Amino acid sequence: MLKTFYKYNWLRIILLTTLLLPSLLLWEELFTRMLLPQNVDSRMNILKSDPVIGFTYKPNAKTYEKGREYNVLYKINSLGLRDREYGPKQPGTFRVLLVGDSFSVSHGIEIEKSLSRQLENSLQRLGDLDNTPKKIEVINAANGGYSPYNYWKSYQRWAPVFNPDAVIIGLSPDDYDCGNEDSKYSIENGEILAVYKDGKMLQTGENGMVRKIRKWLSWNSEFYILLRNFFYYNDIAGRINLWKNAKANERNIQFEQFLIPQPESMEASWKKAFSYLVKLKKEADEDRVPVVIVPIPLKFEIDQLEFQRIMANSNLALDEIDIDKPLKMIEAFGKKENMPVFDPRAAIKECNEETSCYFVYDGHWIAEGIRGATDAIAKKWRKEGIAPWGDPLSGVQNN
Amino acid sequence: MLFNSLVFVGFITVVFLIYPRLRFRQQNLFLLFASYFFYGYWDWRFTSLLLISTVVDFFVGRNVYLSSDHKKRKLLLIISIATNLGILGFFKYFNFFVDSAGIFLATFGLDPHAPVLRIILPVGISFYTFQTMSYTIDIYRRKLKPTNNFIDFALFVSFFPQLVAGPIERAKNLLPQISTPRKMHRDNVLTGLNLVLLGFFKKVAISDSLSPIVESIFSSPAEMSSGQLLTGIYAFSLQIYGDFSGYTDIARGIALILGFRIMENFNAPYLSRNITEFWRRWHISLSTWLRDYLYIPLGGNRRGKLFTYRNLMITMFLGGLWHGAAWTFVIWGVLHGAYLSVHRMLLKGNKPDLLWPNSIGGWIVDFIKIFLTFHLVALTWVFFRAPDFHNALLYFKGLTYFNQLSDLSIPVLFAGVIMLTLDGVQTWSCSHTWLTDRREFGIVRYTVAQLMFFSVITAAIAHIKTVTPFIYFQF
Repeated sequence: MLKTFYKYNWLRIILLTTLLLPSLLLWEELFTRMLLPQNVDSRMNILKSDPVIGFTYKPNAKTYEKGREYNVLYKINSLGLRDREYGPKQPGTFRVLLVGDSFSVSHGIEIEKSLSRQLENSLQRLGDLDNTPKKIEVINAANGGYSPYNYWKSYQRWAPVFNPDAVIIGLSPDDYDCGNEDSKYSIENGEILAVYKDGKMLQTGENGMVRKIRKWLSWNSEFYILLRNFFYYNDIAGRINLWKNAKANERNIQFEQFLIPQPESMEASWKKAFSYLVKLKKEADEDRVPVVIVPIPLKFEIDQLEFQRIMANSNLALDEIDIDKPLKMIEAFGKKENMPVFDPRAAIKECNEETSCYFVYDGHWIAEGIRGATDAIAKKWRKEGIAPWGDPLSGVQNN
Repeated sequence: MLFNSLVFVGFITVVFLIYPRLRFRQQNLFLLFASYFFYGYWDWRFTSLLLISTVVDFFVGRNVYLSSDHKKRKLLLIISIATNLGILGFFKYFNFFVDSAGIFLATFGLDPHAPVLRIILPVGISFYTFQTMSYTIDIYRRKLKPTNNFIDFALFVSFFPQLVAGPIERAKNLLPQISTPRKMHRDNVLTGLNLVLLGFFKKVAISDSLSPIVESIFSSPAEMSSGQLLTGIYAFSLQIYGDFSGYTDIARGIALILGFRIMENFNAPYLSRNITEFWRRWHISLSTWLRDYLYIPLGGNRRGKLFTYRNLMITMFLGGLWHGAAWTFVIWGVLHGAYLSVHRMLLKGNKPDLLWPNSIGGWIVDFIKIFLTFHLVALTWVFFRAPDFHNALLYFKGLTYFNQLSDLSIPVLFAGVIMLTLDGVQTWSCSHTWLTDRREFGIVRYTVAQLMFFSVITAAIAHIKTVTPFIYFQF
């Protein structure tokens, strides 16, 4: 019988492989730990709960934010911001607090080319030209996944720490889909497992046992983290979805859903989102800190061809949607609440004519797009006469 | 085209699918076409250099063989050598000599900013020019009969598994295999696949994993502690060995699957007990080439000690220059020439060393010899790896501080243990095929193969965005 068994080579191989499996896994673990250590925090393990905002980055964490089009090291400072370290405000320093979402935090872009750093450079350049004796600092208090509710809370959280002289709200077109006071983030080991809004769970993780195993592995197995990072960083799930969806082109669809088609509830939702910005403005007024809104456009808002393509893919006629509707609402809101709105669309459009100012697959803007925007924002800032060019609240009064 | 790229996977799949379905002559033609495609995929323009070398040596070889006129034979040999060295010299050393001349002129206050050409180095040029030259020289020495079949000869020059990084094959080994019908045997295929797996393990799992460590340490030696610099030396020693011997294993494996047996290039070199033995075990195809076509024609050891030392120095100087057009390579070669000369001075008689001696004292002595030889070789790698002489000196200066020696990296030691185990078992079992021959070591070989296979997959996943070219491709 044994002889017969040995004749079947493949049977031997299967049996041997099964017996070898535990040793293989142990070897893989050892091999990964020794030669391929995943010595940066996983992207999914970089968040922590925050009693005021809901969540922030984990202080001092570092991770590679990888995608098909970028591979950037995120270094989080000791306060949990994607920025350099800041000490107490020095005399002669003009501080701007930037609140916003993934566009403002400059997702997938090196920190040196981020919105905060480029805006800081642009404002400093203009300030130096005008002999404004101020050192300008733009503090990046944004985070991916934040919405106007978090912007307001970010102001509450960081204003006492940094004593800003101005606040910029980077407002994205999807910001009407907004968190609120009831928003609860279930975070474990740096990962958002679930978001509860209005008492409803919006995102759920796996069931208890799978989650427990995943959690255990993510803290104890380098090999598991390597595999998980591979799937996450290379957007394997996204690629499979692209492959499965024959209609999908090689482009990002994560932002389109917010505007095309425009939901009926959009106006009401924006009202709720604006209510948090009003609260932010009120508190900033009490601190005599001007607030500026920068509506950050999506690619299809500035690229007519892209817009036409998406509309065609959605079987919609071009006149069925007013693509500028969110911008009009933001401008009207800014006027009503006395908040200057610095729309960088024209500058980004100009930049986008030469080369795409957005990641093709990811959809966020890239460093070139930010450069165009920051120059335009800085020029409007000076034109409006907001500090450090004028009185701290002069911009508000002029508007 | 890199062995560790997806394009090559597609390429080799097509080759393996078509090749066995062809008749003998068609196979050679097909392999020739595949080899040119393989080479031309990098830059098709440089296939013309391959063709020039091939045409010149094919016709020169035949005429050298047919001619009985000594002067004519010599003239033809000179034409072949001049053509090959001319191509090599122009494409590999032009920039080096122009830059060196510029620096030399600048020391005399002359303007070195004359307009210069920037020449791109064709990949593998040092390997195939040496291979094709050896063919003509062997015919000239009446050691080889030329082939009358141009396709066979062209395939000998361009055979894709070993075209860009060796081994530098000899015509007397490879040409008869090309000229004889072959079949893809099951045993050859399985052994070949095992060799390919072993090669990928050394390259992707070991060498590429050490690459970031080497890069970070060698890019800024002034900022490193002595312990880190020592780690860098060990890491590069393992990286280059894993990289180059891995390439050779893949090349030999692919060739074996196709029915060719090409020479071994490495034989556990870091277990050598002296520098002479090291050069018998490291890059064997180059060291034997230099011995047969340079060292011996210079007189070898036949004209006394001083001439022997001179010949060793010249051979290793040129051996260093062969590796790259930079003074760091020259210094590396000269140092090895000096080591070989010193070893020869110290050598008493030609008593062969017995590996794995029975007495404990013998083991200890051998261990000390291996330890010293390895460290001598490893320290000299600094010149090979450093971007310039200044950085190499900074590296050595940092080593002499002897600070934070505890910074030695565990991953590098781990990789060292793996490589040492692979080579140790090979030496201990006196078998070069213990990991590849399916008749040997049964379950142990199978287990090790599984571990290597999964390690390669894991490492490939980890390095997916950074395909690292083989180090020797630049030579």
